[in-house]
Amino acid sequence: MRDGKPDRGDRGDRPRRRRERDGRDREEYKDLPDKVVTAVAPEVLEDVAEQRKRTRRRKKPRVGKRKACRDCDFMDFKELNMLAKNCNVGGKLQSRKRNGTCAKCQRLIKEAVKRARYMALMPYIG
Amino acid sequence: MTTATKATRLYEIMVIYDPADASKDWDVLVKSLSDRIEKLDGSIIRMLQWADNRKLAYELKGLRRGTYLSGYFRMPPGNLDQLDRNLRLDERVIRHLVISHRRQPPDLVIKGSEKDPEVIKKAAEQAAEKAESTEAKE
Repeated sequence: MRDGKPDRGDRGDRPRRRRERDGRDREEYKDLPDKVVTAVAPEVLEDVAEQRKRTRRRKKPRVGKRKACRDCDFMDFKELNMLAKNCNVGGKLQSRKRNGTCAKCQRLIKEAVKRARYMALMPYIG
Repeated sequence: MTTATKATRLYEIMVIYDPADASKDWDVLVKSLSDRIEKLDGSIIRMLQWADNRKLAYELKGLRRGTYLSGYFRMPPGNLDQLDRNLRLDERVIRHLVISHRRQPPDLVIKGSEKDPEVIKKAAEQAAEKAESTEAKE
């Protein structure tokens, strides 16, 4: 025991046990058990679990869904709305997974973004 | 140069000018650029002001705003270097970009100029083909 530290047994007025903290050691609550258990039929529990699974499956977002490619052969660097849709707020080109573009479109968009940056239509990202 | 004049390619050009210059004498700027292209065996398809006094994404030569010229022309590929050099030496040109197009760009088809009958003819053919293919699909 180091100096200045109170003895473990000596806690002053602080309640020591949970029952004390909850006020369960009062006269009228003395017969209550420590933990309150509510009984639920196992079938109901299973039902709830299954329902949860089902709802979870339904909510799962679709992965790999492509946007319909408008034009796979030409991307104009002057179409800033189109470029902005494929970039984040800062102007950084987003991944194909996020954009949902096909490989060819993504390459064309990449080229268009770089041209737009060179012509000061879009910012460079440091 | 006979072979070079025969084989031309479609190019797109975009130039940024100082808005002060552009508002003063826009026609002079367009004419000087057109003359330059025509001197190098090029033929102008379209030249127009794309944006006036547009805010630049970043500062260029101390300017925060610029006026954009956008155009299309045909030119023998060998002369492009000379055009690039000329534009770089021009002090009124803040920045320029020349892109070669293998395919007809859609915005050119829509607002096709009457100067190049070949372009219009091609556009019409393409539009007809597209219409046919969509009809066939339906």
